[in-house]
Amino acid sequence: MANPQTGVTATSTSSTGITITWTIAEAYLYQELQYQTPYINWTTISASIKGTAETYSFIAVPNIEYMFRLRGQDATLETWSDWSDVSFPCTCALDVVSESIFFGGSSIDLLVEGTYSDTVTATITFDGFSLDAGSISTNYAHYLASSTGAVYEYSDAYEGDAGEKIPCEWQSKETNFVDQYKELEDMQKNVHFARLYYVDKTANVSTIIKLSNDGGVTWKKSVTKSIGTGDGKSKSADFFFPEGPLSGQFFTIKIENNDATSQLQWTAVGLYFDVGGEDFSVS
Amino acid sequence: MYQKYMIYPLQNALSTEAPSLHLPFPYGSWGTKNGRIEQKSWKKRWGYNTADRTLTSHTPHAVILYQLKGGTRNTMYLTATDLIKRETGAGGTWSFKTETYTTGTIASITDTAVVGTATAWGNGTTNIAAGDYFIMDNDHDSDSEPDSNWVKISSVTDDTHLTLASAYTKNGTTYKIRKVYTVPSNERWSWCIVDDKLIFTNGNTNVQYWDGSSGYATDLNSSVAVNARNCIEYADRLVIADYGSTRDPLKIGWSKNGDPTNWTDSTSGSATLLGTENYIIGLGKAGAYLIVYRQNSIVIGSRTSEATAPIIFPGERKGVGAASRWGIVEADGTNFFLSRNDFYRMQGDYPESIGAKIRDKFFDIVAWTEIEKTWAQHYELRNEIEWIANTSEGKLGFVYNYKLNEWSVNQYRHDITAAGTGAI
Repeated sequence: MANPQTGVTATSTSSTGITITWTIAEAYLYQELQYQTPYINWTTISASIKGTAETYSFIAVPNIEYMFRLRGQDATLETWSDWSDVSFPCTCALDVVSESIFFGGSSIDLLVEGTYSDTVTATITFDGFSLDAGSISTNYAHYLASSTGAVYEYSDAYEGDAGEKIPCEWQSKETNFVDQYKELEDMQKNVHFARLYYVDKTANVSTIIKLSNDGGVTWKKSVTKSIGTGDGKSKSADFFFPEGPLSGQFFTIKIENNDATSQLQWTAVGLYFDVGGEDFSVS
Repeated sequence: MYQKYMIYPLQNALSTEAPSLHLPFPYGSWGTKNGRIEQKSWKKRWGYNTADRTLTSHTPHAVILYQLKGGTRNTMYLTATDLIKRETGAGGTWSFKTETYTTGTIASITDTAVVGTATAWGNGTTNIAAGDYFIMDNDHDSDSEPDSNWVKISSVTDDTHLTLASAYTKNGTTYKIRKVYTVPSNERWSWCIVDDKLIFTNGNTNVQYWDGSSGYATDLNSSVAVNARNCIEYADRLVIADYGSTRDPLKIGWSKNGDPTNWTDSTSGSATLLGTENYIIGLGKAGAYLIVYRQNSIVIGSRTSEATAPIIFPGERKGVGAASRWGIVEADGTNFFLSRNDFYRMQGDYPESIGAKIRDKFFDIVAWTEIEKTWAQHYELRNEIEWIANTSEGKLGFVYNYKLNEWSVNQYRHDITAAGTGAI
């Protein structure tokens, strides 16, 4: 019985080409070459390869892993040798390089074989294309128009009216605190200061807090304070009323800002007070 | 140690329907203005930039986004006298799209006397009239208005002779006469977009349309669609109301199916409301219904499957009507409107009051004569409808947030006369 071939090696030569080489142990009558893939068991490529051949060119499917083995037929006894050792797996990689893409041109060249590089720099030229007529833009604006013929863009990007100040005010209902302190319905209260809770959106916002004990007819107390650093955090600021507390049974509080630059977000307001005597009319 | 009375969070805007005391929630009282409720807190209202366009003496009554099927988007302004297009080309400002007469040529101009060749200025159908404007094409920079070369026509003598208000030097032979519109005192335009055409009308003009081309607006149908105070798209056609050479305030008309310019086809038609006790104020759509707002009732129209009788009016709700023609807003999938004593939202074919928090104050400071002039705008991005009215406390915008059911009040630095969405 003949001895099998040695040194079976498979080498990829292109995206579909594999060259198998080996060393014969003797001059055979014929040689048989087989391949195997992960999907196909050993399959004979040829059983009539010339007995002295030591190379074979095989056409492969790209990206499939191939292994090869051989055996030789004894020239005298016509018996087959054992199978050789199996080659290491060999894969033909499909390398695709986009050289250039021409939209509107006559050809599209997508596959280039032969010389490869890891990085391909190319320019994609859109020639003769335009946005489809049905493509609808979403760029809209809301406009305000005035009697002078001026048309303005109205947007949250602006904190003023054409650069002029916007008086932004929130005024409370007149309250005697009974929704939170039932027992104080008929009592005098002395309000010492107000605390404004806010989200700090803009630095140094001039903020005014006013307090009335006559339903807002007159604002007996008014404190202006510059608040905020613009860091976006939730904060509070205390507004102490000058010249002592404001006393009364009913109170109205008002928060104001009047500028063209500040973002505002007021989240809560509190009045700090102590209780005086019972409120009664003497007239 | 002090005790603390908290309004926390500051999550409600105006409420004027109850006395101040004992309210369970911290609503604002009158005096609260120029802000909005957002994220359960009080924020400043939006502001506006310096003028995007200045139309000089032309006061806008409407700002319109006119988007064509092909993707072209135009921002249009309707003024008391003109249709104007916002121009965006290099150096462009705005241009007139008002109906314009260009037939014939100019033979001579001597001082203010203009002589035409093959013109028909005195023809009754061209309607060239004193008050219209004249310009020679060679003098006209059409995309960069205002062009100082426009001269007012002081009189029209006959087909080939007219007189200008000031002297003009002839420059070439071709010309334009801009046929300015008139809007009844204290009224506004009604407009809609049907079949890619911008249609606009008021009680003084033939219904006009502009198709977005390089040309000008023109009559839609000068024999039927005239002097309409209202227009809307419904049932794949144009619907107009309160119209006619002698305007019929109870008449509703509709064009041919799919063609707003055809008013003679068998699928066009009209109906006259026979309950004559009050007039048509406006039109709206809500779901499948055509809503015809009258002064003190709401007529419900609906579409049929009969080609020659495409619209019927099967129902009417009395006791609630629209007080302001321009206070009817289509938003949030329905209609909102201002009546004689409240603000409403249509729920299907039923009006639902939304004005409890503001109506007492509104009707306290807005006179009857101002209520019918009140106009509204829709800020879709903010979920707000704003009714702008002249009040005893100045011109104020009463803002309703239909997502939060909150009311607030805006007071602008400038005399705002119109608002709307446009292209950037």
